[in-house]
Amino acid sequence: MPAFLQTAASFAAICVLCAFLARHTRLPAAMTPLPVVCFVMVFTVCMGYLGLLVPSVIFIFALAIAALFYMLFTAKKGGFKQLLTPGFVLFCAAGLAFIAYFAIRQPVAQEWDEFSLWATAAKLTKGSNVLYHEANIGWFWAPGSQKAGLPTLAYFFNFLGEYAAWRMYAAYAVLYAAVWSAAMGVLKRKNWQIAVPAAVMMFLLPYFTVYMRDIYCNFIYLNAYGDYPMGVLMSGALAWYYNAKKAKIDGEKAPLGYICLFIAAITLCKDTGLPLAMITAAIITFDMLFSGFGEKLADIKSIFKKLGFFVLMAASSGGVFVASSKYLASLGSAQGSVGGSSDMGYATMLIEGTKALLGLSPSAEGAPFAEKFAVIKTEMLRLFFAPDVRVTMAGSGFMAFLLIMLILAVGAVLTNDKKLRRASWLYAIASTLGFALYYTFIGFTYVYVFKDESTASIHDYNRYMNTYYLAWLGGAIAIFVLCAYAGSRFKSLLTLGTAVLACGMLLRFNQLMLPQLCVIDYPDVVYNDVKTHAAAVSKYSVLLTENDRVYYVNTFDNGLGWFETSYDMLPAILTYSHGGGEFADGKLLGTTPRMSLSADEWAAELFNEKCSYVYIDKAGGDFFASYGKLFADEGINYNAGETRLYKVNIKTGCKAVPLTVDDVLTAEELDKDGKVADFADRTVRMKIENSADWVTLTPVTETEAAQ
Amino acid sequence: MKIEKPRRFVAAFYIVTLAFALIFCTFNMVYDTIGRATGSVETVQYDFTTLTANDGVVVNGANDATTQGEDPQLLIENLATRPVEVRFDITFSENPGEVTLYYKKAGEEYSNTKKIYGKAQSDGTYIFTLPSLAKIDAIRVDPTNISNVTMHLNSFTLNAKRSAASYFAFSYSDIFAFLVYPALASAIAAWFINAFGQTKPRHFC
Repeated sequence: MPAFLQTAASFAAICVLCAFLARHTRLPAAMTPLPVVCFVMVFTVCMGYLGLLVPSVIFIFALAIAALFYMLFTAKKGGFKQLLTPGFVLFCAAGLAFIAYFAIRQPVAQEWDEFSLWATAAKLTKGSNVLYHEANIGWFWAPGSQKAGLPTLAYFFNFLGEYAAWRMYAAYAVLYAAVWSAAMGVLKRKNWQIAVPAAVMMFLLPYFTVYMRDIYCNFIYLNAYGDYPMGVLMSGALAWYYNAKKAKIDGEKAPLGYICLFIAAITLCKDTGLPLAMITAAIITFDMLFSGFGEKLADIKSIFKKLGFFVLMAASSGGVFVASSKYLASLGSAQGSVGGSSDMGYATMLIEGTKALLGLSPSAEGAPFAEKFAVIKTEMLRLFFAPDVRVTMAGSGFMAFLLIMLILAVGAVLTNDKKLRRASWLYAIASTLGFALYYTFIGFTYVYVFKDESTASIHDYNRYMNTYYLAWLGGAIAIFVLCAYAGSRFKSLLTLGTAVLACGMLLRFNQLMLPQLCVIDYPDVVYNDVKTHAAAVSKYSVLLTENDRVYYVNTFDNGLGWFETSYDMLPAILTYSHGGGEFADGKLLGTTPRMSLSADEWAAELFNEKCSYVYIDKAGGDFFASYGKLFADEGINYNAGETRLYKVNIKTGCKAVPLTVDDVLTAEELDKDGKVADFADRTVRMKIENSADWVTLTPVTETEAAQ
Repeated sequence: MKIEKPRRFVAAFYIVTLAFALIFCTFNMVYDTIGRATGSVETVQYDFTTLTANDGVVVNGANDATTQGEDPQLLIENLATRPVEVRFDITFSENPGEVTLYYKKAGEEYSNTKKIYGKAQSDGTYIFTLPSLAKIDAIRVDPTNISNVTMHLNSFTLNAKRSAASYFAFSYSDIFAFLVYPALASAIAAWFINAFGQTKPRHFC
């Protein structure tokens, strides 16, 4: 209950700011949540870069309290009536419903990249009160790999009270709800017939990327990855723009400057945010430039004004991007890297890729990729058109394209509003060009950034493309809803059209997805494994402080167990250990190139890594046969199920001596993947003569931990 | 005709839906109570030896079995009682994937149109509620669609005794459907009334 109220308080702060904005700027109420949520994201992250994360959140809360009192003291009778629009009511109701539902159901993180990045980042931010890049985690992690926007938004909703993963999902849900609200921006209460299907479509939007019947639980709305929020947010930015356009036609106020916030927020969602933010800005500018075609084309001043706005949008995206790169550089990580496993920067990648696309001869940097480029180009084209490669509920990427074009065409043909008709056609053109650009960009990253043994590996293709499909369809739905709102030919056929579209999406959703296998009614059992794991760790977590470094042992792990334990054990730090290595034949073998360790060497590593504890998740077979002599109880307590935690005791007088040159050479020989530098950095740098005599591991039983 | 009071119009859809739902739940409860009183509904316990297993299930004892292939089936071909609900408490060695139940009339084939997905409870029990008015002569349970899963069956009960309240317990899916469908239906109905309803009563003479 307290956690529910604490989360609701964060949400209330957002709602109050929305209400304030609606009352005092005359922005339609439903168009306020997106600017406020994006402001929270952009403001806290930017202040976080300056080391002012906590003050920035306190500032937002203070702002909300001040706004609340101001409104209460200046309230007139009926003064809040303007808030009762379908979009804003939906935002408040959906946000609160999500928070309450998640508070009851308590979903937790369960997917690989949530442990290896997204949820861990959110938990770290909460634990350390700084941006997660700065937080102490102790394991190898390219801190620049992702932007801080979403973990920081999760932080805002976790600000009061203890961290919980469901509060992070609630934060994401509020972001989604803000987008729904933007898509219904100008709708009034009397437009409820359009608002209801619009709400259904916006809720179902992320499910557009489900392309086959799921037999396992689907985690849309229960997942912290950045791809979906980024796509939905992009559709929100577009929806907001078209609603603002319509509001202006109707003589309402909707300053376009807010769009810069959305553009910045998209950039801060994920590493691929920058190109998407630029494409969003370009689509908007395209509409601004050509919507007045024939009327105002000769007006040079207006054209410059519009281009100036594009520069402003691009600058807000570029600004936060550069700020983030500068900040990361100050922490000592690569600047402007696109992520992935190669170090090529954005600019080089784009230049080399464009050259290859135009058939020009590549420079020295691009030359090694020529063959890979050809293979990936063919494959990317095939993946888009092949009918058997389904990526969306509509089928292949090409089918999704046709569906979106159909929606836009129907809206354009049937609407009464000439300006919206033109906007619809212009969006069809611009968003398709944008897709081509994004598709090419993703293709480039496959060629130049992902370093793979096999050249034609296009992994996670769906996940990367989903983002754009969501934004694309979301924008089309928003325009369609607006066309219906503006009135349509023949008995307001478009009003029925929104219902038909919503029913179609609902039907397809029901065909592919069972309520009990998605967020609506998922069974608790889907979290059994992760919750059992977390409970096992938490038995000992009372003993562990943030200064403790814990060595992880799991002889059956593929890496997930290690990431999971690292997440569960925070604020105590799981050392890099063996990165989810496995013990086999009495040797330590990691998923990363490691040498096989003797008991002596392992003891030395515990010493070198300054480990205070060893946590044994699973020790199979001959683990204790090989390392038992380090354990005071020879593993009896572990085998009896009484403990998983062992304290590392180092006798006084123990000294480490640097490895000799010969030892390093042996290490190099063992390292098959040629990562000698990596290897020398992270493995045993010191050795202790007869270390097994110096290091003992004593069991910490559960009862002791409980005391 | 124009809808004068849309709020009342939408509310009417919700009230009617709720009323139908309550009537349906009450009917199920009364029907089952009568069934129990007259003996047509009885509680029956099964285990792996009393259920008929196809060759996808290797039975290792009354409560233990292993699957082989991706289509293990447990059948009850000769139902002695009207099936109302199937529930089993089962532990799988790994995530079982789809846990489903099929039902059919004598002489029919099992088909996807007569298929129910189990509602997993937090204690590991799966519950399948069968349609009350369908004629059902045989039931087939597909406990998993994964090969080489070991299963330990704690209990398998046909028509376990249910409390009166359980007939009225709404699931989250029900609540979601209740939120979405009446609103959507009322929006569509309103469109037809607005588009084709007459503003004045038509005089035929």
